[in-house]
Amino acid sequence: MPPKGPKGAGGGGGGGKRRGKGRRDDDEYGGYARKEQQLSKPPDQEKLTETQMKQDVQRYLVTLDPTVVRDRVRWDFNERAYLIVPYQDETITLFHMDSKLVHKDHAEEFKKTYPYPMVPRKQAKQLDKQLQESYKKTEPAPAPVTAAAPPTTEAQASVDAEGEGEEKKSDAKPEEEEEEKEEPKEVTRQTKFLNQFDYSDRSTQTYNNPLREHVCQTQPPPRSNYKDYCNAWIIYDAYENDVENRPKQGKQHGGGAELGAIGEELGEQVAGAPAGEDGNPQTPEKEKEKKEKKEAVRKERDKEGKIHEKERVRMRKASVLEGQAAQEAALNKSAEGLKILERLVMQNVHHEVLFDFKYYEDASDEFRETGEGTILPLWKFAYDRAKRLHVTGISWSQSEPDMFAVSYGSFSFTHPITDGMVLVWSLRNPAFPEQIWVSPRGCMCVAVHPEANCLVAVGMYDGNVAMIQLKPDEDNATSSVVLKNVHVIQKHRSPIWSVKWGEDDMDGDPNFYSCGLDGRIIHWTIDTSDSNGVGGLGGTEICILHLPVAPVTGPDGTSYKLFGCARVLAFHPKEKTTFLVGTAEGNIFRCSSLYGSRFQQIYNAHFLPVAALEWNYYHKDVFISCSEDWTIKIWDKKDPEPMYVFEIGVAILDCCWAPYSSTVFAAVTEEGKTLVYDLNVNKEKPICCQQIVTKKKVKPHRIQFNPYYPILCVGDDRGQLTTLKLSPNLRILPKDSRGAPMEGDSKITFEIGKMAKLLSLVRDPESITNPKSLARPDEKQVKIVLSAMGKK
Amino acid sequence: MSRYPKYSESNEVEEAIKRILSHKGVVGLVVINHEGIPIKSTMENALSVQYAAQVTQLLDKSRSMIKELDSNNDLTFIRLRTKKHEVLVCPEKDYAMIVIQNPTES
Repeated sequence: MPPKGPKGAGGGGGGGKRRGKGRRDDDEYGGYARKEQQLSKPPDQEKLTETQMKQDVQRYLVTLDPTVVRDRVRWDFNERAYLIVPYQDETITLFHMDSKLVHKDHAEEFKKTYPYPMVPRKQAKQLDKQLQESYKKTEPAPAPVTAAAPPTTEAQASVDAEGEGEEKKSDAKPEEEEEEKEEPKEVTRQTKFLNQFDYSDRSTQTYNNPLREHVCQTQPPPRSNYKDYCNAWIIYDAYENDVENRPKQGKQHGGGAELGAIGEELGEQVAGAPAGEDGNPQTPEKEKEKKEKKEAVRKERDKEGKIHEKERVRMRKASVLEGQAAQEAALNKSAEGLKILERLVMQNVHHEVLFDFKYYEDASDEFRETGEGTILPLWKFAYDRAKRLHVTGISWSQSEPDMFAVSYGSFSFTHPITDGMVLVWSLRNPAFPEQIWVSPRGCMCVAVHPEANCLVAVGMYDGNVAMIQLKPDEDNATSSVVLKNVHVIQKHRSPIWSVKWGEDDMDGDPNFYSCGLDGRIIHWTIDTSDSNGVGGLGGTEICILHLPVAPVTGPDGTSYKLFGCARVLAFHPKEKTTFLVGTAEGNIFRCSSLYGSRFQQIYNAHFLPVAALEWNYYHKDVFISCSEDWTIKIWDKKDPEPMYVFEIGVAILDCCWAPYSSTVFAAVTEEGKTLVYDLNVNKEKPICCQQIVTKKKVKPHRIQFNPYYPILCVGDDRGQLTTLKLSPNLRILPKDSRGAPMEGDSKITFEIGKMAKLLSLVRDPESITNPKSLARPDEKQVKIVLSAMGKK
Repeated sequence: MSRYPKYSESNEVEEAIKRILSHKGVVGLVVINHEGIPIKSTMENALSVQYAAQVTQLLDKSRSMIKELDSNNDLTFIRLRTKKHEVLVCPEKDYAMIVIQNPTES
């Protein structure tokens, strides 16, 4: 059926159409060429009047599809009849939107139908605000508000709900809102009502980190394919072979051989198997042949197998040995670990001693009225190879509180023991020294550098000096670098009695001084220029101790000056160039390293050799000296007479000041006693007198205070060192006004003040001791002394 | 210049081990390599192997703990005090040393 439009429109429309079409049809170029064309009218065109032509013709678009079949039927199997298929509207809704807009012309009509009054939008907003405020104010009395509420909501709702297709929704919405507002008691809303204009949805999304995949794959272990047959007869054969082989191999390789044999078998099978596992099917004949071949091969291989086994076992042994060797090599590197372990073990073994060392304070000291104290023996350090040697020198390290170096040699010059050693001990391990340095000649003295505690200076019996650098135990390097003096001229020709470190010179090199029995004091520095190419120590003589006596005529008539045999050397702690030398004649010389020929002062100190000499740590003018003539003397450097003299009655072998106090000093006697004096407490008697070593059997030779801990170290002539702890009375520290122990400068000044007070006491006419009891030594006495020394 | 005698390295180690064993209360000593296999022991084999296995695990655990807390730190030694005795472990690069000691009781 041809499509027909509405009848009224047909003619005019057709005419109109034609007109348009006519124009377009004549256009050959599709609209580009616009030439004026004459209108050609067909002959049967309807002719209209002017008025008719001006008439507007309306055209409508209708969704009615005229081609649709409306009476379609379909067979229904249920009903067993033809049923009419219901017509389905063939329209598709592409877009649907509820609108709230009402055309202004239709507004009037809409208002009539719409039950609620409509208000322009701006007004509605104001009304809304008012409502909000009213709500906030009149919460408890919502009733009157409700009355006002509906009309305003209605107003708002009405504005919002303008729209043609909106009727249902708009009705629903204000109703809802009304309902909500009618129940203000239940719902206290202070927020704005949600609507499409005021409500906004806001959302954010966090930044998600991009996911990254990180894959790590290790190298797969190497694989090898293995194929084999396993049948009953293969197993049987293997066992048979093994039984055959076993008694021949013997017990040792029994276990290994079994495995070896079977392994060989399997190896053979591996070799044979791939050939047999070819994809091609094999005839039984071929298989048989192969089996025979295999057997023959296997027999041959059996013999080979035995040889292989032996070799294999041998290889295994070798590898085991190699492993052992490697292990031993690793073991050798374990010296460091062993050291630590030994210390740990020592801690456990001596844990009581350790606790005493750290924490034990003799409580009975408080009850002693005379201020006496005790010393508690702690550890004993002994090295078995040094048993027969005498301890000749002890030197604590200033920077490491537990380290000290001890030199071993001999003091008995009639039966000299030629060899000696220097051991570096640590308090942490009393069983074994940290470092050992053996020397073929006896070592007489030792000094650890105050700052660089790896440098140790040693003076030896033959007049040589050595400077040892202790190396840390890296790579098992236990040897230490030793620098020895090289020159023959510039060296001591007799035993060196004392070495002391001096300040680093301008180049920063360490240097030390030594004094020997030949009366010379030599200053040693590292001499890098040497004929052998190896650096040594170069010495420069600083001074020779000439005795203040007239020159003595020798056997051939030449007169030569007598020189003192230096015994001890003591450098001033503050003035680095001043030092004291104690001689075997009993004199003490105060010299300066700047000028060697002349002395600043000579003190006629003792009758017998000066055994020890030390400056006071605090008071710069005071020093102590002790001698085998049974006396300990305290001097003021300005005064030729000593300030304090202590007559002990036994030869004093060593004495030293305490580093924590200016008035405390300790001394060891020949009998084996240790004396501790505190001049502040008691100027006459020692506050501690204790037997340390067995009387008359063992002689203590050296005593030294530890700079940090309240410990004394005493070395005796059996190669043993005893550490002793001082009780509180012996180490009374000055306390300031608050009661806390003094430190730093205030302590120093206090100590100096203490000493000064003591000195001033002595200078009073009523002095406790009688220094003038000492006679001045003269020539005769000197000779006596020299001869006495000669006899020794 | 005369030569000064130096101790040979292995001798020193042997001596040190002997010394440690001679101290009061020391029950035994085991030296294990990095794999945890005892290479030197003064106790019976089974016990040494047991100690070695357990101590290796303990070392790994404690070392990893210390490294995790502070990567610049490292384990120096472990002291394990038990009711019956004390186990001292000193780990080094290639080996570790274990000493079992009965601490002296006052």
